[in-house]
Amino acid sequence: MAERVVITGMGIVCPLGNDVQTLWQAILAGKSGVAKTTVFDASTFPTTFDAEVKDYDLAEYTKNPKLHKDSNRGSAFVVGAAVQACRQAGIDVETTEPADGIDRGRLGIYLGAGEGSVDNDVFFAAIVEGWDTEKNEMDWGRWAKVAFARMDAMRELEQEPNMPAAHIAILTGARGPTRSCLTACAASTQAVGEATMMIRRGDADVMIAGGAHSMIHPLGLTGFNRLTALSTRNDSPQTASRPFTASRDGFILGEGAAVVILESLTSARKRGVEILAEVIGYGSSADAFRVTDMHEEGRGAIQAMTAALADAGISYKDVDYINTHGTSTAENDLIETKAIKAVFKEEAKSTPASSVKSMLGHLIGAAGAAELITCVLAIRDNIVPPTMNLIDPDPQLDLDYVPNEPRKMPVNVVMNESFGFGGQNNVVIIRRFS
Amino acid sequence: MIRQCLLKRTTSENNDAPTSACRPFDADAKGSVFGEAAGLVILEDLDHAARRGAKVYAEVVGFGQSNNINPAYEHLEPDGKGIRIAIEKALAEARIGPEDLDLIIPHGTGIPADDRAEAVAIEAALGEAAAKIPVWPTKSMLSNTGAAAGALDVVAAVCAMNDGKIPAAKNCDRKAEACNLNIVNQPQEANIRHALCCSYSYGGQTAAVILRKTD
Repeated sequence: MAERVVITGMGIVCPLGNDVQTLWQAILAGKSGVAKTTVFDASTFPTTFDAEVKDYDLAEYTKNPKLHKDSNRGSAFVVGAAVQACRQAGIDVETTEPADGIDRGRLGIYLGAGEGSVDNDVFFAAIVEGWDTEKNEMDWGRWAKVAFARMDAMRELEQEPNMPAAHIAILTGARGPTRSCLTACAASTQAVGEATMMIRRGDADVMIAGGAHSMIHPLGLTGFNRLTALSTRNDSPQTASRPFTASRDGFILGEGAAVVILESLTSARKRGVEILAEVIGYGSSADAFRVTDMHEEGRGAIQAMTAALADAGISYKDVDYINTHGTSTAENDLIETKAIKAVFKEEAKSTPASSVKSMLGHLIGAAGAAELITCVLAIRDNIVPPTMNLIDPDPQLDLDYVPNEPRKMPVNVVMNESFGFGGQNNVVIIRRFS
Repeated sequence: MIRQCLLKRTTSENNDAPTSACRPFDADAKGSVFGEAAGLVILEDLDHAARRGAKVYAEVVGFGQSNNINPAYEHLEPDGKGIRIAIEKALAEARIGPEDLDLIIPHGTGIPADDRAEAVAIEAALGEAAAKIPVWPTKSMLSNTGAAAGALDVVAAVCAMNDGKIPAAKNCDRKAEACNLNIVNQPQEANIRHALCCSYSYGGQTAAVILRKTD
């Protein structure tokens, strides 16, 4: 019989706060993590705002901040999220002699992640220096001269998308299976789902799972603006993320890291740690359609939701709350609504389906895990988080999106949905542990 | 490219002789060569393949994964412990012993310190058998194709298995000191029932796969 998989720790560094409790209070108060971009001067970009992590201090989490000092933003954030989660789950960090009862060979890592930002100043200085204005092309000799004199090896290495996992391995001594997945906006839900499968099959007893990502850099913002994926509501950043409204005009680029500790029930019981929730289902699919657009009828989303329900061995009727992908783009919110209707049938309109991205922004590779943490808290407190800024409902979209106010109601089973550019779809279902 | 150069992973001492630049486990190794590729295999449930009447090229029988843990992120642990754990896990999953392996495709980049650590890890994982099993470092010909490298090695191992031949590695004429592996530098006929492919990354993730010839 496969192991049951439970959540025994959570940690987060995100635009709504740098710990789980602060995040949850902010969500229940309907606060927004969105503001003018400060990471760089974006004042002339089509979008001048984003959802940034604020007041983050690596030194709160590690005795050796130097070891993580060259990190890309995602790796730096994941140190905080992972240490918080490990503290809650009673996993020892930064010691060669852990006394937490977890075999390091059976402690693994699974993170959704992405490439870190280029080392902007030196990189662009080298480009300027290398550009031959007469020939209108790069002179790579001139470029190399500046680049090799000024670029830093470690800051280059830290841009690799597998580095957040490396930082966690060094903090925790984890020698078990360690993976990174790069499935964009769906990555950290995939990470949690796949890590769950690995514990079920017996590959590991404990998995540190989640995501870490920041695309808040000039190239990231330019790319998403060119794709016209971002909101350009520059006169009102805090109401820009308005999923399921008629006036929605794109998502809000966010950043952060979110980590959950997944553990076999056997291990959690043996260690006597508190169980926060159980992961009961996972479904994953591809649209096989277009790289930028979702399939019009939500083919892949439906398949992932259906697979997750089947994996959990439950019916759509058993789901109390859907934490949607809900990005506030014209396309996602329409197609996600269609997909929910296809899967939830007569229950679609009576199953609350909200988007915390209305407050949190879109954490890209970290989004799914951050949102999963809100699902766990929804179960703990029997409160469904709201979709904020739902001021002008889109008449085509007629589900119960939990507009503007959190809702007190019994919550035992939650479906968490994440869909990525490129057509990757991942869905995880969690349940109150009993 | 600049990342590889800054991290001193690519050799710049062989710019006049690029094809002999990548020399895994060789005494004259100076670093690796940067490459690119895509490698894909179709993995399929055996029964499913049989139902479709698909030709089966090999079976994946073991997989292991771990971490190198080294606060100097850009280097392997000198004892290659993370690689050793991955190999041991793969053998355990395949339910075979070291003596059952007939071919090893190592990660073998041509970076002396990393090759040394990998050789130590292979010896630690396989014991006495390590000195006998043919080791074919494909990067001597393919270069280091990054994330594609592991899949390329699996394709190479399956080809070797099905042809009953191990091609010679290039540039591995003079084994590095303290390397006790049986590096293949002459093509040889071989009956390969089990092959082991090893990979590791910057940042420390390690992986080992064991393939079995289909009967």
